[in-house]
Amino acid sequence: MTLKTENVVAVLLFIGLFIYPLFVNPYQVMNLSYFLSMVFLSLSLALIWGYCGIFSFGQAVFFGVGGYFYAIFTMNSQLSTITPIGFILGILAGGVVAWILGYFMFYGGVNDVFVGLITLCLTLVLETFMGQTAGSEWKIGQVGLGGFNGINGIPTLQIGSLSLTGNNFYYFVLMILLIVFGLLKFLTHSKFGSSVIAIRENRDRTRLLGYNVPKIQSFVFAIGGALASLSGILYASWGSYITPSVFGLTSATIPVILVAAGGRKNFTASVIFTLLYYWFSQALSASGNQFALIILGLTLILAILFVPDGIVVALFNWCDHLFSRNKGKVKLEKGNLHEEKIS
Amino acid sequence: MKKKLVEKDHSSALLELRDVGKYFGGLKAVDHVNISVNEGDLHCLIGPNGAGKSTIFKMVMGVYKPTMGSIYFKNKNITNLKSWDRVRQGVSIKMQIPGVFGELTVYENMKIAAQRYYRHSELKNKILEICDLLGITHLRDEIVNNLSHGQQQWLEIGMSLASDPELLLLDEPAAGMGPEETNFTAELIRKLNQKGITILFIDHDMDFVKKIARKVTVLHFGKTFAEGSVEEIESNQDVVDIYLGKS
Repeated sequence: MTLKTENVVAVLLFIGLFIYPLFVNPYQVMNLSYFLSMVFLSLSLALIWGYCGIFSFGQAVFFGVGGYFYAIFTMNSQLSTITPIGFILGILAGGVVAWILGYFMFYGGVNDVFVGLITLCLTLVLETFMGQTAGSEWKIGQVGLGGFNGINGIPTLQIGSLSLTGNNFYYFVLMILLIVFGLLKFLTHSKFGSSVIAIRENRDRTRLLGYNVPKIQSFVFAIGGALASLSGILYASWGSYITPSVFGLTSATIPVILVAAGGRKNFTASVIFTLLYYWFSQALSASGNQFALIILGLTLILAILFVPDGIVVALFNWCDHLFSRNKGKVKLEKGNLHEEKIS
Repeated sequence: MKKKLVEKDHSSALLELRDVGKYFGGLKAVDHVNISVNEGDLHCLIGPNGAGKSTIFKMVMGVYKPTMGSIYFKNKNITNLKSWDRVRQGVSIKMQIPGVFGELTVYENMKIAAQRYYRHSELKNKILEICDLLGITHLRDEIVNNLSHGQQQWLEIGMSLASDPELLLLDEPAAGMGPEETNFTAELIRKLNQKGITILFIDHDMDFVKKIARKVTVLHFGKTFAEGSVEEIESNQDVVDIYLGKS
């Protein structure tokens, strides 16, 4: 088995993330918890766009659905022990909403740029709708939707008597990230993963090989929705608030740019680039957060021009090439189904 | 699982197009066509450009829905079945423009095509068996974009074979090939037919058609113009006038 840079970096990254809280103060741990929560949003897009070829602005929709669902569900219950149920149901809610949307789009023959347009419209419609819910009549149970101010005082996740704050929350998110990352790797290396990649490469041909393409697309879109929803729930639990800005144009665009610039066909690249962006964004926050967006936009333009497969992926490939040259056996990376070579 | 069932009708044909038509607005691409392909046939569709040959293939595969008429496969009406259900029933196609996955290797392409139909333990052997038949085993780790046009055509035929079809549709299998590659393709098609696969193919090269076809249907302006053996078609003066030339 060839030791690839990506795998080495992924292992080092997770080890680094695991020991990080030992060396920094609680504030920095809290910040990184937030960055890690946003990684699921990028992974959701890397799955549906990078692996299945479904370009979507809709991950912000499912992010918001998850966050709002968790808020409304847990705040309507007086029991703090209900939060794990809200967590699980919130993930399912995002998945189901994505599946329903995906079902109508893909079985209706909607694909390519039109999926991007529909999901973008949905995002903006939801932002507008949620923004006008300030009146007291906009309540679900006892929870007011709060218009542009959103919902505040959302309960923090709690498992039994253990409240997930500080380091507990950090390690909880990290553990989920490890599980999700592993599952995504497993999924994309499986038979199912091959069919997903086939759809990305040539949808019509895949259909003529006997694959029910809309069914697979809807399923992958639903998984993507569930992941984005997970991200929204963690965000709501982390900050104890959620506002309609999560459906905004900026929120919808950032995951697209992060995944495109990092490398949309590579989960490790998406994780790294997302963490870097949020860290960078936070570091610039003293002088205005919008700088990070401007730099991110420029980075994307440069990435598309010079490294269309993504900056991080380009670095991985460069290192792979360098190391194999050093070993005296240049070996081109062939395909991307991770198929073992047959002797 | 074949959930959608399908009315049965007894006839000896493996594939039967009954009064099939496809209109694109005012353009009648295919108009009231009747074609029967019997089990074991090596049947060719010929005709000038725009005669409706590829449109017929696309209707058989469910890419286009016919404006009129019905399509029967193994005496079952498949007109309303989705493409993937038709493939699972035993029809397979090699399209005119190779629909291979260019960024993947030959083996990965074959794996995608075959994995739905074989257990993991059988998959590799089946893929290698097909690659051997096509003469592309030595290219199995090659990225498909690096292959020649002919090799890509063979790979696509191989991918079509991966579902073990009873009926194979080949849309211009030798298009863009040199004489040697064309001969190999003709031999390959004959071999597949001898293995029991019924083949319906489209080609413009009459020498190629003469080499392998046992039955020929001539299409003209979307209608069936003539049908018979190669000799009968060649001696049909009307066919000579509209398609084969008056030499």
